[in-house]
This record gives sequence, C-alpha cells and structure tokens, in this order.
Amino acid sequence: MLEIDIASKVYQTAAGPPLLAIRGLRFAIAEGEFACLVGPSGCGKTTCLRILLGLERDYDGRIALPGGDPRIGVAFQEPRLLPWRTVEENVRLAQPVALRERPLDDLFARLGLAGFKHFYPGELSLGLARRAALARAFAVEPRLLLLDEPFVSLDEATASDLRALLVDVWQARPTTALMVTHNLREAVQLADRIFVLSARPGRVLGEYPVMIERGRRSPDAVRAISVDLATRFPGLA
Amino acid sequence: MRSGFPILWSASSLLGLLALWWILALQADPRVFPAPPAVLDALLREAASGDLARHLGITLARVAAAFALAMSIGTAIGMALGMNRGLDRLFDPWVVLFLNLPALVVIVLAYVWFGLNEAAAIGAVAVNKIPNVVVTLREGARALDRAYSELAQVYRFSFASRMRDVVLPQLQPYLAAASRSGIALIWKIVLVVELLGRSNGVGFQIHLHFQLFDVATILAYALAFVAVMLLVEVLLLRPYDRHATRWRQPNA
Repeated sequence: MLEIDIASKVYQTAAGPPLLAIRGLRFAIAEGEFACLVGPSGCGKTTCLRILLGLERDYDGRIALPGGDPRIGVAFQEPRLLPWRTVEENVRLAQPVALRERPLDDLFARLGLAGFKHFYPGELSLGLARRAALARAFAVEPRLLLLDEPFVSLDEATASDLRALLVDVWQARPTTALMVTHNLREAVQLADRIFVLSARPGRVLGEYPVMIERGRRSPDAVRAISVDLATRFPGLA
Repeated sequence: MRSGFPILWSASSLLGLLALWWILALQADPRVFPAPPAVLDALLREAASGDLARHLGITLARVAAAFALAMSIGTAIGMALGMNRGLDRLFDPWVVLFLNLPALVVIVLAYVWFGLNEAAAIGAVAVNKIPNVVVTLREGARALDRAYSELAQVYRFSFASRMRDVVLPQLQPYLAAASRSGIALIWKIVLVVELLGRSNGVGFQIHLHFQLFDVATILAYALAFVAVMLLVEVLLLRPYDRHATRWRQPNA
C-alpha cells in the first residue's frame, strides 16, 4: 500500500512570497497497482513524487511507502543518465550489489537497447536515453516504481512505442507504480487508476478507475475513455 | 594532434629557437652565454658521470611527492568548502591569506621550524600549491549538478560510488586544470627548496654551478628537467585527459 497525506508543501522562493504547491493532497494506491497522477502543469505532481523519493523533506503531512523503506525505481523527467558512464554501467551502478551479476540482456532486448550497451548517453537519441532510464528503473527490481512524465518531449510515435514497452516490462513483474503525466490518453492507456489533481495548490479532485484490461485498450477505446474523463473533470481538457 | 603536421610545426618552431640561440651565442662571451654545443657537452659529461640521472631522479621524486600531497589535500579541502557554505565563509580568509603568502616565506619558515629535512622541503612545496588547488576545486564543487546527487540518493549509491561515479567525473575538468598548472608551479618551487636547503637535486646542482659560474651546466640541467616535465605531460597527463573525457562528443 502506498499512502500519501500531505497537508501542505510550501516552497520558499528566492525573491517574492512563499509558494504553496500542495494543500490537502491525499490518496492511496494498492499493492501492485499502476496509478497515474494527472493535472494542469504546476499543480504539484512532481513535488509529490519528490516527496515520495525522499528528496523533499520539508513538508507538512505523512507518507507510507509499500514495505516501509522500499527499493524505488525512478524515471525522472529528463533521463538523468551519468554522461561519463555507458548505458550498461549506468544501469549496473543503480543496482544493489546482489543483482549486479544477473544478465541484463533480456531487459535490454525488451526495451530495444540490445545494441547500445556500450554507448555513452551523449551518443543516444532522447528516445533511447529514456529507454535506458527505464531499463535502470526496472533493473533494480523495485518494490515501487515512480515515473515523472517519462515520455515528455518525444514525438508521438516514439512515445507510444515506449508506452507499449513500459506495459510489457511492467507486466513481466507488476510493481506498485505511480506515474505523473499531463497527457490524459497516456494515463488512460497505462493506468489501473487515475487521480485527477486541481490547479495549484494541488489536491485530488477525484479518482477514475480504468476498468478495461490493458490488452484491450485500443486507440478508439482510449479516446472514448479520455473524452469521458475530460467531461467529468472539465478542468483537464 | 590529429595529423603529423602539428608535430612538424612544433619541431620546426623549436629548431628556430635553437638557431636563434646559436646566432646570439656567437656574439656573446661563451662563459656567460654558451652556444648549444657547449651545453650539449656539459649535458653529456653530467650524464656520463651519472650525476644527471641521480639529481633529475631526486628532483622528480620530490615533485611527485609534493604534487600528490598538494592535489589530495587541496582537493579534499576544496570540495569541503565548495559543498558547505558555512565552512567556506569561515575559511575563505585563510585561503586568501595562504594564496598570497610568498613561496620563499613558506620555505624559509618550514626549514626554520622543522629543520633542513626532506619532510620540511616537500611540505613547504605542497603548502605553496594547496591554496591554488583549493580555489579551483572549490569552484568545481560549487558547480556540482544536484540532479546527479539526487539520482545517487534515490538509487542508494555507496559513498565510494558517489565519489567515483558521480562527483569526481564532474570535477575532472577542475582536477585537470589544477594538476596542469600545479605540476609547472611545483617543479619551479622544488628547485628553490633544493637551492635553499638540500644537498642534491637539480636546484642544488644549479646553485653549485652558479657558484662555479658554469652557465653551460646550469643550462644543461634546466633543459634536461624541462624535457623530463614535457615527457610527463605527453606520457601521463594527456593520455589521462583523453581517457577521462572519452565520453564527450568529439566536437561538443
């Protein structure tokens, strides 16, 4: 179970008044569930992930992670690969020592990285770098997966390829997952449950379970659900 | 060096300098300003007696020791100051003070306080260089990218891995700058240290031949040591640089 109950999170800005990013953000995700946070930009989605990652400690509220102190696989908004280490080294370095001997070939093959193990991040396209970041997130065999718009600024064809790869890898080992996105259709395609956030200060406006099995979410079905979702939460569009 | 031409350029440029030296020496008193053959004679004489290798070796060992000491201590202090604003505010005046302390003062004080021994000599050289390393590495530590520190935190990198895989690669350009300027500064100061308080090394030999007014031998030792330092640059520093920056795009 992943539980989040953040009463408030305030950012001190360098010049000007403090910024209230989150007020009363409360939701929970069941074990093994894939949830998405959607909402307008600046509504505190990324802040919420940073709190879960332990990168923001100055907030008012409490969180409970599955298993207490779980191993977390994360994909940040930008790939954040160490530029001076190869793709394989980047993945290996993130792994706990016990996992470093296990072959990565299957994971790399699934993500279409097979020929790129020895490339440096600077030699990869953005799409490939994002795949490598996903490979790293999965290679640690996480108990919790946190994804911060991992497909942003990719062209639609590449993004949809990567979404399919994500589903494929995730289904091989279902993990409690929380993905932040502002792309409704992406959320509908991937999630078991969607939480809709308000504009800043962020709080949950409502949740929307996606009932259809992932395998049967055709483009038409995704479009229909997205329209339904958008009519229920007019702020989303 | 992408083709052979730059080497050719460097070689002919150096030959030009040699020619200029020769021409000027022909006009001058050979005792004050000897021509290349006289220096070569001195060089061969010192090499044959074994003195050259011995003194070069001793000086080189001192340079290496002082360099290692200055780089490691300076890097540690620089990183601490760059990462901790409180420490930086507290110790910045010290850094400025030591940065501006004349090398000669440090050397003389080291000999007075610690005696005419090897530790005082090498320590004095290191103390002269440490503030430079601190200032350079402090800039590097200030420029560390938080995104990578967060990554290391989330994926629970060990302390050793944080240093080796996250921090040091980001500091590499600063380390390269500090070691390049460091090695040149250090060997010059080592000669002064040897001149003032050691009975061997290139600095001692130069002092000795200065008293004998043997300019040819002074030039022989100086040129031999410059050649050694060039070899260090070409055989150690440059290959290391290439290795450390292999991940960069060639034209980036």
